[in-house]
Amino acid sequence: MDCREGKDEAVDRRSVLGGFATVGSLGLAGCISAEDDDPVEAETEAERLILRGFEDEGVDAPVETTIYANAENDERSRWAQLVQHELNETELFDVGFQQLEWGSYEQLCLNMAENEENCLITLDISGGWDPHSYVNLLFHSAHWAPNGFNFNHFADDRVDELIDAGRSESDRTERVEIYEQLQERLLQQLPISILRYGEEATVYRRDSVERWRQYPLPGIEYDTVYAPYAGEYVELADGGDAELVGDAVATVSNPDPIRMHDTTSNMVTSLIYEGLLAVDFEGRPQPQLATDWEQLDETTYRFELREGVTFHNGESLTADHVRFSLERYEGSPRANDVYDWYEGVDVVDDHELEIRLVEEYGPFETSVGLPIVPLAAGDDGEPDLSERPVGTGPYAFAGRDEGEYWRLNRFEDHWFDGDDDVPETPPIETITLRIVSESASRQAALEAGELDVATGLPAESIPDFDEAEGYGVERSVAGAIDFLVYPRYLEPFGNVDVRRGIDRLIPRERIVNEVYAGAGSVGYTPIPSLLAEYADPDFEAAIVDEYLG
Amino acid sequence: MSLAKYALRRALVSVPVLLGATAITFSFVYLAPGDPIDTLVGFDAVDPAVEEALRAEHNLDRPLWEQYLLWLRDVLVLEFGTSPITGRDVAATIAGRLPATIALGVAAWALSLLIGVPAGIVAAVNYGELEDELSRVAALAGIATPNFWLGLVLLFVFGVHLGWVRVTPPDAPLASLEMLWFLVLPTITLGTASAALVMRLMRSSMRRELNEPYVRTARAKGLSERTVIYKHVLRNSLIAVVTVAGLQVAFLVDGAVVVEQVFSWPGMGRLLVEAVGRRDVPVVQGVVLLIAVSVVLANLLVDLAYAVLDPRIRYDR
Repeated sequence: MDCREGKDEAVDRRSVLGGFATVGSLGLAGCISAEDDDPVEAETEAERLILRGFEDEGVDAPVETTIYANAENDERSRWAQLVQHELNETELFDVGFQQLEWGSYEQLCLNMAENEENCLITLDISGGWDPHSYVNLLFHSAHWAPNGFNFNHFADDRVDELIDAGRSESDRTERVEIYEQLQERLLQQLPISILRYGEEATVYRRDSVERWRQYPLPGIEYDTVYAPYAGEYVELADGGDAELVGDAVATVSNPDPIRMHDTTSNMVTSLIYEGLLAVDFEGRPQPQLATDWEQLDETTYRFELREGVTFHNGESLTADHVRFSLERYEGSPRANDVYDWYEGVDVVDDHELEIRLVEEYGPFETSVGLPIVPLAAGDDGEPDLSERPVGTGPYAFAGRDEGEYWRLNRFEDHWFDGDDDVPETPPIETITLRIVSESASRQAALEAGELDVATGLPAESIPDFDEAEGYGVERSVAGAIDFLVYPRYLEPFGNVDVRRGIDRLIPRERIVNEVYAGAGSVGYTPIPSLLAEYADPDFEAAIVDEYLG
Repeated sequence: MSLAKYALRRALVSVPVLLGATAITFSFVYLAPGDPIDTLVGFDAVDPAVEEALRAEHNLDRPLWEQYLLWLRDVLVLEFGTSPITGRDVAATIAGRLPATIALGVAAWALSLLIGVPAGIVAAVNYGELEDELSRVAALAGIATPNFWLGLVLLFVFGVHLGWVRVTPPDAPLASLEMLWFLVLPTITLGTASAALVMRLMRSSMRRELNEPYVRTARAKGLSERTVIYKHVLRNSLIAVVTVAGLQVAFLVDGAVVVEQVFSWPGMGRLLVEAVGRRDVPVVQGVVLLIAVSVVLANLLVDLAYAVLDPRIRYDR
């Protein structure tokens, strides 16, 4: 299990956490110093907590450390500096600030505990529709970085127990209970501080697009163009040439599901590939290539496959395709997407199959929607999915120029027959995704009318588009959480009072309002508000009040 | 020694240069943290055996020198391999970006000479006068303006507000009027600093020549100022400019990285940045080799141009 749970939960570890980089230098983290003899008076509860922690650890103020951010992420760098400022204001800390190029930053984060770096790191993570995808990688002791996001090598038996229990429990009510206990325990221990839940926003030109709906997770932005599983589709305003021009923020790295490692590749293929199930805009699993499914016992699920489904290369979907598509992951870089839970497939007949799991798996229904690919992809010949992705989706791959565009054409033989919400034929004939890697250039291209839709605009430009005529802004609470990681392996950061004190100093409101121009919301708990079923606001307010004040 | 022999000798001498450039890049990419498999696997706790198998597949489990030699062996037969990240043929990937890179590079290079040389002449001839002062200010501004900023300003003014040019490249072949028109802004962005540099160099080189005794002699002989300047002084002043014009090739590659980003130009600069970010070694190596070859070639052409400009320079020593 990881934080990328197949097509509908796709998350890129690398580009979600940061971006690609050009320059940067590794700065040496400072050392803790206890030289200053002037006692500092506590004026606030935060300072009182920190001083108490210092006393317990026998450390004198000011404590030196460095807060880091990666240079490519302006917003992150700005909020890191706000935190730096707040800590320095107390005179209890002497915090420096360093920017690193993503590659170096990533290595700093992954190895901070191993190298006992004296650093505070700033990151965000976007999990999937299941709480497991957030807590497992961030807090389980089996996921100490670099094998996960547990950057500061936090280990707590109770936390591990609860995470394991959530993973292997498929009853919803039980799971809600488990994740409440887990959140409480995590706030009590506070290995990291959560500070904001993100927001995804897409801006579109009203003269070319009628309406748009924002998918909350990255990598699925363009599904709204035609998503029968969610009752969504997009119509063009002019009805003219039926071409939609959108943006992609980087070149497509690899469109083959078993080698896919970036959000862009996921995004440009989400209309090409379909899975057994797809997760709709509210997080509910919906039938896609399966028409029906049921859980037979704790570790077995039966799926009825849709009949009359054709791949873009002419193959007809059968149960063998499902088995082949899942087993293709073996030994691949994305093996965990499947082999965390997969035991085997029993083909009952051409259109019925049973998937056996290694053990009961709570997030199964939001994880199983992996791309189903044609059997021909197994041969050495065509299609090579790295070159030419082939699936069963409403759009087929129609060409690319690596640095310039990615093009999709409507697939005329798509299985969907139309219903009350979504027409049989997608109104948009061609989708061209222009690769524009500079965010200011994306904004310029949208304003110049060269893009109909832009998914990757700078956060500070969104309020301007809100006010400007002729543009629609579509937002959604996203699955992203911003967080601050403490070097809890070092004194005095190992002391929970110190961490709680720092947590109180984080200027969450300012970060949301000033750095992110009001996008997103203040957050404290590791399960974002997007996962409504698991994020009970009253409960969260109560535990925040109890542990964080 | 004939010119052909000289060219051959120079070509042979450039081999160690190319080896050095690629070996250094190779080591640098490896000194940077992370490798292509880290990129593919990300933070997943993938079975170590799987990771090892993936590394072995791309020879990443071998010692660094062995990896370099393996790469070298393939390159000698023009086999650039497959990218472990994209799964695509490296030679095809680079070839796909090459025309766009050459178009932008040549255009910017030509612009820098077309503006830099005449402006430098005007400044030198009008030494200390208004033209000279203006050119000094223009050159300073040209060199001091970050091309990233210049590109965005041009984009917003001429692309968004005036609507004269597109913001992203048109869907047209490279050799089309539409594409040429689109190239104007990137060319200006990329060529400005170079033009400023060439102008300053042309000016100082020409100033120096203008003070030479032969100029006084020519003038004393009653030659027209025009003949003195264009027939005698210009030719001699060009040597310094030609040297720099050759070196500009390397500068343009450097600048292209940024300009291509701003103008979404599908050239090798962006390819290189992305490949470095993904630790995509075969692609980085291929691009660096190509850049090294073009710089070596440019320098060779510069040396050959000396002989044309100044017959006293011979290549037989």
